[in-house]
Amino acid sequence: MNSLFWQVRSRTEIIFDQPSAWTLVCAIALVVASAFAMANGAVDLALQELPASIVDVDHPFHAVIWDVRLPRIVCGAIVGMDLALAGALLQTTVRNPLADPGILGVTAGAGVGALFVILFAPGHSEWIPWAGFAGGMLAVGTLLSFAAAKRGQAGTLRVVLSGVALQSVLFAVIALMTFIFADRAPAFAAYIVGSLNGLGWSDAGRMLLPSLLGLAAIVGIVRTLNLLLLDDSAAGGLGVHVVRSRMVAASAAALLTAAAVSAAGLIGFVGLVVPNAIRLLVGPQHGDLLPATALGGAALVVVADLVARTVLAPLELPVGALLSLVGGPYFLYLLWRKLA
Amino acid sequence: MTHVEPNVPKAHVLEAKRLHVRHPGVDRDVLRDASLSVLEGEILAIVGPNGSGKSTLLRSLGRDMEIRRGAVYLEREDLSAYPRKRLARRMARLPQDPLSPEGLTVEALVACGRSPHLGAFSSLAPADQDIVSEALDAVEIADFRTRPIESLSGGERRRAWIAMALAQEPRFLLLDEPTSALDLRHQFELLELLGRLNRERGTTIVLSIHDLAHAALVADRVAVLSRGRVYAVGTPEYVLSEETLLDVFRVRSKVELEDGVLGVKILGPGDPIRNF
Repeated sequence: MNSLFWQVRSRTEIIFDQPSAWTLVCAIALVVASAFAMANGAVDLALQELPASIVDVDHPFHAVIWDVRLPRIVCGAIVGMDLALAGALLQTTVRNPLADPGILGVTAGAGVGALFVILFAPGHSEWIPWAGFAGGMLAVGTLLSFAAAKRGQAGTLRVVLSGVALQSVLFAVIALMTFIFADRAPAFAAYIVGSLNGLGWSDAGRMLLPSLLGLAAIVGIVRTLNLLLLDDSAAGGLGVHVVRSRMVAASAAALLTAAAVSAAGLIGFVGLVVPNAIRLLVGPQHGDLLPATALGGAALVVVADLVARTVLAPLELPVGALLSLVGGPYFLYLLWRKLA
Repeated sequence: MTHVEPNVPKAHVLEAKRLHVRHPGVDRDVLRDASLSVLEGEILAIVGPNGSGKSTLLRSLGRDMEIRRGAVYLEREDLSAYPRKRLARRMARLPQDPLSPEGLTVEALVACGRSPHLGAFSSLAPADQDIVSEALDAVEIADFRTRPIESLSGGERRRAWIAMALAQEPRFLLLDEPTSALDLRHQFELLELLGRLNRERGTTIVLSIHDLAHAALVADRVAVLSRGRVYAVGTPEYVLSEETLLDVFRVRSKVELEDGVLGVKILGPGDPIRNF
């Protein structure tokens, strides 16, 4: 029996035998995606003009790039990084590749928390990520009590189904809140699929602190995460406080998710698609997995948003809808492979 | 050679005192007042029928079970208060059928065994790498070091996990039915390996095992469990008697010592078998 990872690995090894090479590939993808996203939009700019327009204050595109496109790209990159890392953390926490902040209801929990601030403390947008974190933690707590390390198919289904149930309850709460307070709530449809439309530097600034805290937590637990991949009993035998480590990892995931939700609403599937794809290339060890996942997630959202705002221009589609269009089938594929 | 002569009194280094243990969610004790002392440098085999509490006792000795009453002492220190990492440096345990993540290489798994010896942010030093290589050599799976665990056979996989335990450089090694799911040859090789570890490194080994002849082959002493209690402890010749087998396992048997090897022949059920 040979896993898909090793089939992919044995083929890609010919190109890169070092997992860190894939981190570089993801970084280059992010830079290239960002360049295209800066050059393209309602009005297109030739790529060779891009450096001049960034540096030259008098360039006709200077303002568009600095005030509109660049902050949106930065927001997209942070959102993508946060969600992809949160997905990787949750997959390790519940030891299940089907985990994703969206599918498990963590995004929806953060969405409810964020909505509370939007509706009831309108002047305090700086509270949004922290309220989202509180909501995300409620979801994570519920989830972990369900996920209690059951093996095999029963365990896989249990985690996914409890997440789906939780998510539908939280969606209902969001629907009711946006319906009752329609005068000041964000549009339900755009909020629930997530979009980067109209984001600026202040949105990026709001995500900065929770994202950095999430990253710091990851750096602190990266080796423990590798041990959590083993059996609970085996990890405990190696000196890991399994319950506490799992809680720290899940909290970091909730914080990163809340940061992303505070700017972009409930974008889904980034946390599912990116870590699973990267894992096929670099393997399950977190020192290899997480850097490439962070950059890959950032690149994916920047690319998806570029497509979302140019494919039917001047209509700007919500980027979350495009991501779900790709992520949903991928989820089904993973589920099918897991249960086959 | 740290093998001590049988008549020299040895220290009780790992002691279970009057344990009452139950599985989570079950309101019946699996261990009922079970006590057991492990001697320094010995191989102790825990045998007993299904449900007698072998695995539970072994897991209790390795602090892998919640103990309701009683206590386990490691070198006179209460195990429940023992710091996690320090414990992981003294004692390695091998679960019965451990999960391993898809895509993890043998080498990466074995390297996990070094983690109790590392600081929070330090990575494997050359000395640690050497210990990992040694562990791989000791169980003869160095050729597979870059292969994923899931591509190995059952016996190779078991050896990879044992190599991880060896990389911990433990003084105590607890193994839960290490020979289950192995073919005869691999069972024998594994017991050989444990004997070698015990002789060459002085590792104290406690294992649960089903096969009584294997227990007799590998162990200095055997503990027989019956219904959550320790029925008897002692040398294999002393404990594994026809009487014990009838009492505990409810089978008629013929036990004979031949060329220092204990032969256990099962003749039939000790009492009428119920029709299901």
